Amino acid sequence: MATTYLEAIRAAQAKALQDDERVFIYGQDVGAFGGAFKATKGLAAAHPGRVMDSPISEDASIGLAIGASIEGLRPIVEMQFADFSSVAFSQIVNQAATQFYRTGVPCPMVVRLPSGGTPGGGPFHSQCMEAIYAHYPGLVVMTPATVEDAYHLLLAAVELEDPVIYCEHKFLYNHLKAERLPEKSDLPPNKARVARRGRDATVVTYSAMLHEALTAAGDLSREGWEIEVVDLRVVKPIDTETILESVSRTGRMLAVGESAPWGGVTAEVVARVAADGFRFLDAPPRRLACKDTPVPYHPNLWAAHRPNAAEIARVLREVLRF
Amino acid sequence: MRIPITMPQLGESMAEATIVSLGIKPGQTVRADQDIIEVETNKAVFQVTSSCDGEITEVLVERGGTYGVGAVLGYIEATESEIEKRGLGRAAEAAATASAETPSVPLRAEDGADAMHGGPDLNPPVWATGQYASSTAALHVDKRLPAAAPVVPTRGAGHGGGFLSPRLRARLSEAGLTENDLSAIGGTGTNGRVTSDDLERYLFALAANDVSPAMPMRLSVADAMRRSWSRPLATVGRLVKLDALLAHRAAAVDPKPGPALYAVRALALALTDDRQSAARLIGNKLVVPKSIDIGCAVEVDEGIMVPVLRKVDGKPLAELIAPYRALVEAARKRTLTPADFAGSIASVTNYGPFELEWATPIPLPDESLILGLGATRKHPEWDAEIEDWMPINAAQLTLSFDHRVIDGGRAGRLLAKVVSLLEAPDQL
Amino acid sequence: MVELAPSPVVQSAEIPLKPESKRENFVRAYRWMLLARTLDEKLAALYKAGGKISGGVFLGTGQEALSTALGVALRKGDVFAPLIRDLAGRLAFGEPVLDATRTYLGSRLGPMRGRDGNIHRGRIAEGQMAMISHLGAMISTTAGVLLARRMRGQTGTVGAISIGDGATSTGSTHEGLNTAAVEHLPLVAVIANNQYAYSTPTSRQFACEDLLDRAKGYGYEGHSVDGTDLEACLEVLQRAVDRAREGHGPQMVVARLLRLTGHGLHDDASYVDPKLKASPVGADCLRLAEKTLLERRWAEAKDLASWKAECVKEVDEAAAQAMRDPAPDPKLEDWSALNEPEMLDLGLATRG
Repeated sequence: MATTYLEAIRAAQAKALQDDERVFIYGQDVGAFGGAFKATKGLAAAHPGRVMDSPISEDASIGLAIGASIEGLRPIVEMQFADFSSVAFSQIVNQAATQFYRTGVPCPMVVRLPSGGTPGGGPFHSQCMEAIYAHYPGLVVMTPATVEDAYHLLLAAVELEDPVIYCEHKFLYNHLKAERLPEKSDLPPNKARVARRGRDATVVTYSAMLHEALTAAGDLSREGWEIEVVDLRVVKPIDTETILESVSRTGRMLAVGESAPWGGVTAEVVARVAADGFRFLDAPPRRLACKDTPVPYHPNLWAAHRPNAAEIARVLREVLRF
Repeated sequence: MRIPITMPQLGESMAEATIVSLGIKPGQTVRADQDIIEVETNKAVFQVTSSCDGEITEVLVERGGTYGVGAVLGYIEATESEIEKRGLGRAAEAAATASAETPSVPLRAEDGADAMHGGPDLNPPVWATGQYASSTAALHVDKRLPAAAPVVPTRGAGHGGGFLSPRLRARLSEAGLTENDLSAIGGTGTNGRVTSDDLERYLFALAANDVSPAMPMRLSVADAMRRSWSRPLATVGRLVKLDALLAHRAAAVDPKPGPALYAVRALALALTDDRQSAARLIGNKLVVPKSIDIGCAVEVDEGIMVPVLRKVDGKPLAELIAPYRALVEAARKRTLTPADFAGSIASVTNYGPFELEWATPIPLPDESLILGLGATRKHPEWDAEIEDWMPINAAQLTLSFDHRVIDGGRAGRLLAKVVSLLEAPDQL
Repeated sequence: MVELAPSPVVQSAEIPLKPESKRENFVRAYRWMLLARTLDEKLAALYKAGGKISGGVFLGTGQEALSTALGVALRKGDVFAPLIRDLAGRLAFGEPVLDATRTYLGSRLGPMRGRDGNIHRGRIAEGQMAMISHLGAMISTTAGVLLARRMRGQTGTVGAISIGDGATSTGSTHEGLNTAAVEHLPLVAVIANNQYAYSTPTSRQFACEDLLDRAKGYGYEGHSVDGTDLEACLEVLQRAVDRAREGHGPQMVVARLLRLTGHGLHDDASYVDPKLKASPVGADCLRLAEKTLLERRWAEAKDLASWKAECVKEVDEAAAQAMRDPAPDPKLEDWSALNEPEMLDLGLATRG
């Protein structure tokens, strides 16, 4: 029986609730209803009093989680959509992210952000927020791209003694399936994964774009190019070592993300490759992001707004021909 | 709507132009393509034309003033339909922005040196796109810079031909190769670019040959030759009669000066009259040592050394013998210090001992002249008195020079002076 | 299976002390007020001497009665999230004077180690929350501590948060107050309506007639008090804290008083309406408390003088100690904002 990305997130939370008395879940409609995407389906019944509906108060929900973590609990806060975490932005970046540095008291908590576009989602139900949070010291930002990582990274996030922004991609929720969930992750949470081996160029990506990149790599292999694909898994901290190791073999790099083009994770990857991997480069490191507009509503516009396999392949051909 | 009159880019190297005459004044009606302002660059005088029909509303420049490419020289008021017809919408927008954001005085180039900022500009001419008007007029630019400065030229295809990627450079360095070594490789990349894979294949193929390490002296000479060869070098030559010199030498007491030392002394004296012919061109300056010190090429194991004999113009030949011998000795024993090599104005090489009659020696990288002396041979010379050919002793004398610094005529005159001194060695 | 460890926040098994007597209670509170006023004066003097305190100094002048009353009504094991003008309440709740001087003077040995300063200090493990500047943020955080305690079956403690009239306008305050009520938590929200938020008068802050009306809207039990009157403050705050502790849900106290200082020492508060200063709301709670002490013969002038002398001595020693302390040393910092070393971004750390 195959497990979806969404089921993996639910299973990870069920396991965390089961294994760790400190864990509780707080968020809008997460209780008996099971969450807007059913990521907490059945958990409230299985763990009475530990899966609670919150008022529509993202700021207070995070503040509450910070307080509970001070008390030794391990809150998981579900933002109904990543977009709404901007209401809680101040609590996340000003309090959760600074607390350990300021006071020496750690702030272990997980904020789940259902992220990224789906056709028809529109400007306020499609955002990717990983770059914003990664910019702030004191936060760990996870961006799982696979069913296995969705499961194991969420469990790792609960274990971490620091606040974790866990960006789960809505497009992958039901599209992505795995045969089974492995007992253990093959990688620690701070390591990127080489998702496909290649020799001609490296694509560094994360979250849903991994699958577009893998498709592009498959297409290019029919043209005789072997593209290596690195899945960051966690964008902060970023595994510079794995990126540079790959670029040292391929000499060419394209960073792909679904977020807005100004700054962000792809810019960080390019900056690090340029600064620390200059001597490896045969071509300028490139990046590909979504268009610099809000995420559009109509499926036609939405599909053109974000990078896709064809676009990645097109830019890769430029990189390869440079 | 207002349309700016901007300084056009005419020719790739143009950075600015000076107003020669103004054919317009406010209130005047102009037609599209009408010559309105005459300007002069360092290459030509040309007319700035009106981009549309309209009325001149402002003239922002004065005769004699120098203005950068893209500077707004004035404004034309044109009707919407005229703007539409001429496709000047963006220029009109730029004019609106410019009036809101930039001082009304156009940016002026302060002096000629600033023109260097202009550089080669591969952008399309201003009228093709209107880009200049919008890109320069909308920027707040330091008034001390010419208007052209902020417009960074867009390179064309930067990835072909001679482009070496950072990776290729790093790999070259790792393999102990220089850029020169790449000339042996036919590139398979875009526009013939040598790719990292090309280099790897080349290195692999090289391994099939006999490969042995070159000695440091060889590498040092090789590097000096590579640097010397970066200039356009030319060589002139002529015969020098040596009977007088040989007689002079035979009459000298031991230790006798060798032919090379005669040449050293002759070159030094010739240069006292025209030191500038030995100048080096560095940037836009001519650089020449204050003292006439001459380098003397000495063959040693595995290479060549060129120690320097000091103040050769101030010492008669007899006084040069001892220091010259000391230098040659030190070169062969490898006891020369870096100070013994520095600061010569020109050098002399004597390839006669190798039975070579003629050669094209290469000046040292930090010199621009080298005098070469060939082997002495019997030459027939027409004796007008007895009306017959008579044998004389003579050799070929060559002078190699940096053609950027001097030309053939001046090199020939310098060589003639050396010849006349060698043919009358009492002057030495 | 990870089981719940004991709460890391210091708990107390103490039975609440019955206030000794009205007099003892009043005197005790007065002396906390006096210590706070003395410490504020010292911090002001150090600031004006220049070069010793970086940043600003933010005084609680005029708010000591209200703040102290909250501090003494709380017990060890409770949670207190003070705001800018709560020096008196912090001291009464157990913050050492040295924490204040060390944080203001940037000692490496203070609770914030030079990483944060002035009023942004606390000892979370002792229930003293370390305020951030964003008004209202600490309300939900305090509520979170209380929620966690309830989840682990622990009752009997309360949480108190302190805000001013300015903070009542923020979304964070609204969300926090509402969420605490929805969760029916033992939270005491004390609003010091001190008439100005920096320079903004209350007329530009809210349009309701009385902030206390909001208690009903949020589902709080409401209490109103004259913030210049120590006796009233002691009574009302004790009642509010007791009600919360007894399970009657969140409590809101709205106190009317006047900030008798600028927003910080850099602000001369010239915008304050002189009529307000001259009105009863502009009275100095410390002077009024002294008047009460003398009138009721609960203390004599010489007692006041000797208590003041004790305060001056304690404050001077704490200031001197903080000045002698080592300053933070950039070379000794680990420059890490994360607690888990394996999650540190080494690529960034090595480049600084």
